[in-house]
Amino acid sequence: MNAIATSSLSKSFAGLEAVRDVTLEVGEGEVFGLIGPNGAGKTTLIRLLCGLYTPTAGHGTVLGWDIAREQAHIRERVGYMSQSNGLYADLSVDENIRLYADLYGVRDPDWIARVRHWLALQDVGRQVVADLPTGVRQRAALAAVLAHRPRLMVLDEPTSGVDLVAREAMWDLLGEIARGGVTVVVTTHVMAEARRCDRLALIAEGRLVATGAPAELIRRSGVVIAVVDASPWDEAFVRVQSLWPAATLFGTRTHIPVARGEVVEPRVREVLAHVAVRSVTWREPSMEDAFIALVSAAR
Amino acid sequence: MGTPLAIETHRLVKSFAGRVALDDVTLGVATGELCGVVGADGAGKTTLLRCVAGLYRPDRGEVVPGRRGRARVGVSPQGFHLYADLTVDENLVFFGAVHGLGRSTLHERAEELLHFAALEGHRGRLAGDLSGGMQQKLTLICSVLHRPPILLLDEPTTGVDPVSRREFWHLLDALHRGGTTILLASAYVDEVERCDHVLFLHQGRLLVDGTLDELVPEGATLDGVLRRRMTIAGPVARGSA
Repeated sequence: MNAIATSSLSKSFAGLEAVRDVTLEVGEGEVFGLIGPNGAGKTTLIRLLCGLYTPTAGHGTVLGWDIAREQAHIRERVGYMSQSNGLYADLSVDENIRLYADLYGVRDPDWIARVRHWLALQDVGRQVVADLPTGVRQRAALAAVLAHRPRLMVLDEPTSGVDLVAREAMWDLLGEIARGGVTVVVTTHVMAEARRCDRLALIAEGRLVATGAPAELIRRSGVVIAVVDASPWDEAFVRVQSLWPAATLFGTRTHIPVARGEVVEPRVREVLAHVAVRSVTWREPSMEDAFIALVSAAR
Repeated sequence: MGTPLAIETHRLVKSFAGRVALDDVTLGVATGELCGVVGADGAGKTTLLRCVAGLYRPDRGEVVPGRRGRARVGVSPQGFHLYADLTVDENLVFFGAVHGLGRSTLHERAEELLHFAALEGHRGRLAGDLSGGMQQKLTLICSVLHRPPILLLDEPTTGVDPVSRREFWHLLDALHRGGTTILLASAYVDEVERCDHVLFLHQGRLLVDGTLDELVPEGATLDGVLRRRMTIAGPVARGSA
């Protein structure tokens, strides 16, 4: 069964279409990533799915309930973590978890114990949130979101401001939570992390540009990266950029995103006729390269 | 490697209330280099940048530029450091005045930098109303108004979307090509992969120092290399200054 299914979903604010004609499905127990530039409509879409907005057109169901007519049921079973994490900084971890469980009228000590164990919070339960390192604070925020036993968790940039070690642990956790039967929808700006999702939806200007597993989106972007090693590197970069404006520098090497199968090397060598070209090699695009290619193709 | 060093630290130690933030750090960044320092929260990245900028006095060891070379350094601190209730133009005027720029010089450079960062169309907007990507670009141009030969950037792209992040990097590439020495702290490994020189701080210690070519063997990734070094280093006893 699908945790989420939408069909031609749209939402406008004062004539401005923030979400346009979005049709997507998210399976139960998936870690599903929403990616897109700022202002693409990700937060609006999330709020529609959480039953916080009513759609202007189209329809959808979340956990089997209609997002326009059965919002109260949805809100009961969905845990939403906004970018500001929603914890009370002057309360302890345990007090926060209890508060969230109480707000939903749910008292299930076995579940709370399981959540605390999942998130490795047993030893910090009495500590005040404000005193915790960012990584632990984010785990506590996840626990608060899970406190009322939601079947769907919606997380808006949960790893923003979290350091690289804690971030990695956070993604491991999200996988574990999903395997435990809670569907996870998550937004992120960090493409190296988006790769950790089972599937992704790329949204730009309110529209769904592409959905699929990360590797599939990379393949569908149709780009490949030509890596030019030349000396002097700065001159080489400027010359290459005059032909390929999307070229970027990685150290002293120029990376050129080009269409897969495009014959590039003779043109590179021609534009760099007065520069010593040591090598032109190829590498697979990163998730970020794919993101940029797909977004610019959609514009 | 005959290039002179623009940034140097020698056996740098800095503690706060008995907690060691930087533990015997010796490094050198060549003039014109783009150097990325990566590490977890609390690894010492910000402390290192502040010592280099002369904002902190080290407990032990030496730093160049440090306090004496302060005027040669541009600093773009972590987070939002603009005046949210001033416009783009007014922020530039304010930071220009801080750096002691005369009116005509300031005007000329502000125009040039607004064009450089493609912010001309937004000059009348309040800094607080700009998107995250634009705020970062504005912070960057405010920090280079006085044309510092050395630029220190503390996690400039945190929370910025991938398209804006790439735009920001186009600006850094241009400054780098113009000869500015850049020391960039980042929480993202894929970001320091764009640098000439990579430093990895872990619990105040410098674990990795080298170029990508030196550090990453064929078929390996920088991420893998850093993880391995972290495992070898193991946990460090804290609090014993």
